[in-house]
Amino acid sequence: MSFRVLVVDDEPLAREGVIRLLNEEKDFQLVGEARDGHDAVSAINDMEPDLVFLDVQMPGLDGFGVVEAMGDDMPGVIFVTAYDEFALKAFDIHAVDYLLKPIERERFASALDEARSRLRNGETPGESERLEPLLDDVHRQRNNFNRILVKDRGNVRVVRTDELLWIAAAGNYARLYVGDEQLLMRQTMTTLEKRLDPDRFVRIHRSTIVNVDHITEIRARDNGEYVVVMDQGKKLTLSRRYRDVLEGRLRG
Amino acid sequence: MNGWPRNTVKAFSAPVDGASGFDQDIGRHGSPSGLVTSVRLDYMVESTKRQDNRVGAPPATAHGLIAGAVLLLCGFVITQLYVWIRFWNLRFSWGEAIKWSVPDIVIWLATVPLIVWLARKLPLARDNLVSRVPIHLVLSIAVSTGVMALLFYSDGWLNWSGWLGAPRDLLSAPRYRYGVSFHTGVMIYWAVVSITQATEFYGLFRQRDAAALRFQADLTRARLQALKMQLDPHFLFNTLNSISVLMRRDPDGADRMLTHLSSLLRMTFESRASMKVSLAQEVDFLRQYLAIQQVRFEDRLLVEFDVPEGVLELSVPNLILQPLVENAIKHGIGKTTGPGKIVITGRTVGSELELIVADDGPGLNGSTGEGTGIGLENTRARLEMFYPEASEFSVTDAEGGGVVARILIPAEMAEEEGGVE
Repeated sequence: MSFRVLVVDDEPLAREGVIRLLNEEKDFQLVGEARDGHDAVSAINDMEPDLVFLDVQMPGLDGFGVVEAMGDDMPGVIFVTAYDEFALKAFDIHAVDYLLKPIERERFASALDEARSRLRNGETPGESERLEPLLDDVHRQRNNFNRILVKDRGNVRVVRTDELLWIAAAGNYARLYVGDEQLLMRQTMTTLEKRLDPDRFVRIHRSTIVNVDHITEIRARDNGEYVVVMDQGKKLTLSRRYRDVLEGRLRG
Repeated sequence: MNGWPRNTVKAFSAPVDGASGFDQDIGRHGSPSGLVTSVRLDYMVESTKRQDNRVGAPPATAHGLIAGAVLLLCGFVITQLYVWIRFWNLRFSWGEAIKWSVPDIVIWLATVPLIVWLARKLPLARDNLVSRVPIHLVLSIAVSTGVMALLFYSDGWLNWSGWLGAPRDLLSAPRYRYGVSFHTGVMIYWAVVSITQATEFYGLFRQRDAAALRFQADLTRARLQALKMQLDPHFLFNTLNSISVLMRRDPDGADRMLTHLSSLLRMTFESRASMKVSLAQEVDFLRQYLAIQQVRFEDRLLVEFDVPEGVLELSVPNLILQPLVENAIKHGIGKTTGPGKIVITGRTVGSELELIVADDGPGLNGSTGEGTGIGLENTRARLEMFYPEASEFSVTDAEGGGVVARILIPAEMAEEEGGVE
C-alpha cells in the first residue's frame, strides 16, 4: 500500500528537491504538484492525496490559507519553510512538524516516518484538529477577522465577514449564508466562532451564529421563546441560554 | 517702606519675561479693562505657540499658566472688592469696583513675579518639606504684609489725589479691607508657589517625554535601515535551497547561482544606508539579484532594463530599487500563470531622474497588500532623508495592467568612488 503525495511550492526547484527525496521512499507516491495555494486547494480536491508537502510562504493564498480553506477536509500535512520567524515559533509551540529549506535528508526521513505512522493509524482525518491551535495563532497574529476562506468545490472563496449574514450547523458541515448564496464548509461551529470577530458574530443557538450587524429585531413568541429577525426577513430561533449574551452585544 | 514698591517692580519683572509685558500694557492702556484684554491675548498667543511648536518648552508653558493666573487674579480682586463693599450695603457699581481694583492688581502683578522667583529659588521637594515650608510660610506673611502696606499707601494717595473718587463712607472701613487682604495675600502667595511648582514639574515631564520620543524615532529609523540593508532571509534560504537542488542536476547552474549570491552578499556587506551609488552600481546589483530570481522562477520571469549610458552615471540612494523589484516579483510575477515581465527604466526628465519599475501582474487590487506597506514606507522615508521635499514616489496601477512604481529625484552626477554623501 502506498500513500498519495501532493507537493506544493511556488518554486519549481524547491518542488524538484522534495520530489527527489520522495522518490527514495517506496511507500509514497507522487500524485501531483501545485504552484500556489489556490492550485493546491483544487489539487487536494481532485486528487485526494494522503499527504501534502506544503510551502508556507507563497504569493496569494499561502500554506496556512490552504489549511484554513480545506477545513476538516485537510489531508496530512508536512509544512516546508525557508524562513519565517513567526511560523517557526508557532510550529514549535504546537508541536507541528516542519522542514527547513534547504532540506536536510535525515530530517526529511524522520518527518516522513512520523507522517507514515500517523497515516497507518488512520489519524490524518484529525489533521485539522491537530492544526487548529496553530491556525488560531496565525489568525491572531495577522488579525484577520474580516475575511474567512471557504473551499467551494475546488476553488477558494474569500468571504468578507460583513457580507456573512449567519451560519447554521448542518451535520459535519457549516452552512454559510452570504448575501443570497449558501456555502457549505467542513468546519465545526466552535472553530468558526473562534475565527470570527466576537464583537460581531454571536452564537444564538447551538447550531446558529449570527452577524449582529444584520439583525433588525428580536421578537417574542407566544410560547415564551424568542426569534431573531434578520434584515432579509429570515427568522432564527434564539435559545434562552444565549439571549443575555446577544442582548448585551446589541446594546454594547 | 516708600521706596520699596518701585524697586520691587524693577527687580522682579526682569526674571520673568511675560511680566514686563503686563507692566507695559498697564502703562499703555491706563485702564483695567485694557489690561484684562491684553492679558487674554497674551495667553492665547502662548497657547497657540504651545500647540504648533515642539514639545517640552517649559518657559512658554509657564508663561501661559502665569497669564492665566493673572486673569484669575484680576477677576478675583474685582469681584472680591465689589462683594465686600456691597456687603456693607453701600452703593457701588462694577465700574467703580474695577477702578478701585487697579492698585491691587498693579501691586499684585508686580508681586507675583517675585513669588514665582522665590518658588523657583526655593523649590519644594519631598525631602526638604520640613525646612522649606516654614520658610515659605514666613515669606508668605512678609510678602502679604508688604502688599497690604503698599495697598494702604496707594489707596490713601490715590484717593487724596481724587482719582478714585471713592464715597466718603468707604474710607471708614479700611481696617477691614486691609485685614481681609492680608489673608487673601497669604493665599495668593501659596497658590502662586503651587502653580509654579506644578509648571516646573510638567515642563520637566514633557522634556523627558520628548527626549524619549526622539530616541524612539531614531531607534526605529536605524532599525528600518538595518533591516533594509540585509537581504531578506527568506530570499537567502530559498536561494540556498535552489542551489542545493540544482547541484545534482546542473552543477554549472548551481555554480553560477553561488557566484551571483556571493556578489550580492558582498555588495550588501559593503553598503551603508546613508550612501549614494551610481545608477550603474544599482543596476549591477539588480542584475545579480534578478539572475537568481530567474533561476528560482525558471521561465516565469522576464526582465528588461532600459537605462541609457549617460543616465547610468547619475547617483541614486544605495539599494533604492531593490525593494521595488522584489515587490514586483512577489505581487506581480508570483501571481500570474504565464511568464511575468519586469521592466526597469531610468531616464532624465528635465533636471530630474525618473526611475520606473513596472510589472505586468494582476495590479494592486489583486495584491493582498501583506508585506508591501512597510517596504514602500521605508522607500518613502529614505527618499525624504536623501532629498528633503525634493523627491516623488508613487505606486499605481498601470493602464495596460500591472503595477508601476515611480521615483523622481534630482539628477546628480555620481562621484567616482561610489561612496558619496
